[in-house]
Amino acid sequence: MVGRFFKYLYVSAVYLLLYVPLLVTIVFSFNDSASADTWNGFTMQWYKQLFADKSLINSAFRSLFLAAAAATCSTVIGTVIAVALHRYRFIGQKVVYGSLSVIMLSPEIIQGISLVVIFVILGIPLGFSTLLLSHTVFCFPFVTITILARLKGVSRDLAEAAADLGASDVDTVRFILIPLIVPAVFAGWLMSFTLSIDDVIISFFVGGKNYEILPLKIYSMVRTGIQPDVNALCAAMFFATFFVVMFSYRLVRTKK
Amino acid sequence: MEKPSVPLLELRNITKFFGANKVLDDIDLVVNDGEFLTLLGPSGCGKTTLLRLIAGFERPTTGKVIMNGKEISHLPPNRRMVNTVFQQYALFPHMTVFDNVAFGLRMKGLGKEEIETEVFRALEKVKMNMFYLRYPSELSSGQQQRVAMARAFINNPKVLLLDEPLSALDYRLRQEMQIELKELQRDLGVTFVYVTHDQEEALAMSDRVAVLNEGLIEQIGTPIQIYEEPKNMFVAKFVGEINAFDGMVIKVGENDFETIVEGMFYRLRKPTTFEVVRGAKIKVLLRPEDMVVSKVNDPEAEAPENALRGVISFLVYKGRTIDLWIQTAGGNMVMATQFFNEDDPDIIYAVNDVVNVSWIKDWEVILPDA
Amino acid sequence: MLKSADNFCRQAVLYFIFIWFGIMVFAPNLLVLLASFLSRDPVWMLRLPLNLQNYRALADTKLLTVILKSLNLAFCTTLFCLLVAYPFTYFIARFAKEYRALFLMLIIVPFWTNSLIRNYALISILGDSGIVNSFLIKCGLISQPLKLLYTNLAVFIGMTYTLLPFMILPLYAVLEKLDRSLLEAAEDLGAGATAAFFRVVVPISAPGIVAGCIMVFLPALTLFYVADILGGEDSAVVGSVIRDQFTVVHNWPVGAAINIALTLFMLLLLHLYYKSGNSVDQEQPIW
Repeated sequence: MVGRFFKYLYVSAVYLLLYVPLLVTIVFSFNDSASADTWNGFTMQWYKQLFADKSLINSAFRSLFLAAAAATCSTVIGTVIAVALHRYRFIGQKVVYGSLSVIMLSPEIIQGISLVVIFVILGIPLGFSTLLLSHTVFCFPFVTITILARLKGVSRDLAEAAADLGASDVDTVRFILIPLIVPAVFAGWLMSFTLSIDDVIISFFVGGKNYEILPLKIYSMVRTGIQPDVNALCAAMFFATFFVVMFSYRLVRTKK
Repeated sequence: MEKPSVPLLELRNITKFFGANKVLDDIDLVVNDGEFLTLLGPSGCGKTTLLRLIAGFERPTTGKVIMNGKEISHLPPNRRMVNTVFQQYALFPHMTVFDNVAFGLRMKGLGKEEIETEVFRALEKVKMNMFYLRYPSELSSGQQQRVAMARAFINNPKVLLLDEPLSALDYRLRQEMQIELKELQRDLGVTFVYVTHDQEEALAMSDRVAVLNEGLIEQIGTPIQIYEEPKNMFVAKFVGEINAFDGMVIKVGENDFETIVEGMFYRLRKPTTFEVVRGAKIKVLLRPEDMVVSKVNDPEAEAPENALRGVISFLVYKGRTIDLWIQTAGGNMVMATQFFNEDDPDIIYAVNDVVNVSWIKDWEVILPDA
Repeated sequence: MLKSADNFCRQAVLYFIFIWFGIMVFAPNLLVLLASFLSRDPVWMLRLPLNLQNYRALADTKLLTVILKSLNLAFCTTLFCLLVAYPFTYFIARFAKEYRALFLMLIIVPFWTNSLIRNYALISILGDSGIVNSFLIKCGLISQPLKLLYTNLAVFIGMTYTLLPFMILPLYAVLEKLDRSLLEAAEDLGAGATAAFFRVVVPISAPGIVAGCIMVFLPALTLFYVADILGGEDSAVVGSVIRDQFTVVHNWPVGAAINIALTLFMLLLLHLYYKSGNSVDQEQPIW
């Protein structure tokens, strides 16, 4: 009895810790004070100020657009790679497997530096394209791994059965493999979207002035002090993301 | 003039290596149109590999797969006129029963109405038409098995390949499905190539059985031939329990020969499969159900001619029959299966009973002792 | 016909994979390696000749102090994350199956708000008149606010908070698969609950522990923005130094050299991870 109580208490406490900063952000977006640590009463003024500030809103939309684009690209690429790793035997397969986990385990700064170096050497101007490429690179292994895990559960018999019933390789991928991995593909997309939205360091290196996304804008404001309208923006973004994800999650589920 | 008939399916000199491991060794096999052929053997004997070679999932290292006189060894599975029922059924989990069964026809590009008619006709044959909207996960394993059958035969294959299709079912259901499968095969008129390790299943269902061992075909024949006239010790032992006595030929006559078995003198019919010579060592094989056992009331009395004296050391009551393990005077263990005789219901055996063991004359099989 | 289409598809996919990995994964890292041997150029950032000068910068005492402090911080963060995350993950991995996905989702949800913002929110909690100090003063435990913000302690709290999910997720991947009957078997064979835990559960979850530690330890060396937001004058981490070389001092070769050193350190950890034979199944996702 005591054990159970302790267990739930402990789990709740950790969740509380994870959510406290989020709650604080939301609460302070309604705080009638510009300071970040004292509560002065309820106000909607930061939301008004936010909607007046085009540059902040724009950087938020850029972030969301980038995350959606990067998640989509890395889902396509990650899925192709997962299916290829699962179906084909080729030279360098082990290296590809190994690289996937190395990419996932390497700290963002290593990737950020290596990418900015190649972009500068190739003469690609830093901006949306470099951000998109970089986010795709650090997200796709998560998609691949998620889908590979799912494919492992799909027995090889199924592909053989399809071939036996007259399906070509392309048909087998289209009618058997892809429908079976849809849930994993969705999970991979969501993971990529999340990682992209959360990223600071890679964007810091490969981002450019002509495509300023939210974390970069906020980072430039940190030392001078962040206005509570940023809290308002983050709260708004959080709820927007939350509802979009819940909605699409339900969509996928009811389709099944 | 009749044209020389071409067999439906022919395997010629098939050898298959996996790496350095030889799994099939120069296999020759002919499958006739409309027959039920079973590949029987222990696990690892190459029977499943042989089936996968016919299906097209594997390519032979050397040799040819020939169908209707045309070589098909190089064709991928989707371009062969054969279909497979997989051991674990391999039903597509994201498709309904209807979609699973329709898959092959859709791949052929048939029209919607035609597909519908065909699918329901096939489902009717396996009594699954009520379940066409279910997903595989909502079916029992017996029902999944029927769907897997329908999904395969709906494509009108020249040969239907079945890879241990009943092994996932429990004993009772397996017995029922054996009969259903046999009926279905007769009804469809399709050639079946059936893989199993269960000798009872093979004997009960097949027109012909090929016994495989370590990549070689040990014997091909009707179930009766395989059971009653095994060509070697492996076949003899694999298709059922058997008693093997060592013998020595002492005199060869016109139609029979004389031999000593377990210290007893026997006059046996000459085998047709090989020449017995004087002094040769032989094996005398007998199925347990061919043994005749009689209780001895006076252990002091001599055993009659052609009978071995023994003591029951172990017995298993099986309902219709009783299995006796009898320790002979020569020190061998003999297994005898006795049917309960309605005319003589009083026979009750017990451990340590002294018995005489003999066999029905001419029912023995003689093999050379390798 | 069909066969050749399938073959074409296979070829195209494989070429794509090789080009993608070549350009986006291998080439960038090799170029950083190259850059670490080049010389500084005020306009083009990099120029010939090749030299080893940049690595000498690593021996600088000021840099070494930062590295050691950063390693210390990363070590504390990793240890603390493991201690907090292990029981937590063990508990949620034993929840009923239908709830587990939800609980896992709840760990990911905070990520939808950028971690910069979430770290910034910690200011409102740790500041002189922040939640923690106000609470302690109200309780009468202290009279003067504790100096929490802009200290190394604040950076430690920020790192732990930011990286905790990266410890939980790999642990979850192994603990979820843990077969309950193994524990029962251990208890059946006479092990007490504690013995069963340390002799069965912990060894089986070792790959998750190691993966989680790597995923916490390395970022804890590099998350410079946490140190920027919450730290004081001397709270720089290895990542801050690399960032300064690239964006403030504009000495790319030295930045690249430090980055290569960090990469080698990472490869060493990964090598130990795979070599320890902990990865029971190489293809098993660590997530």
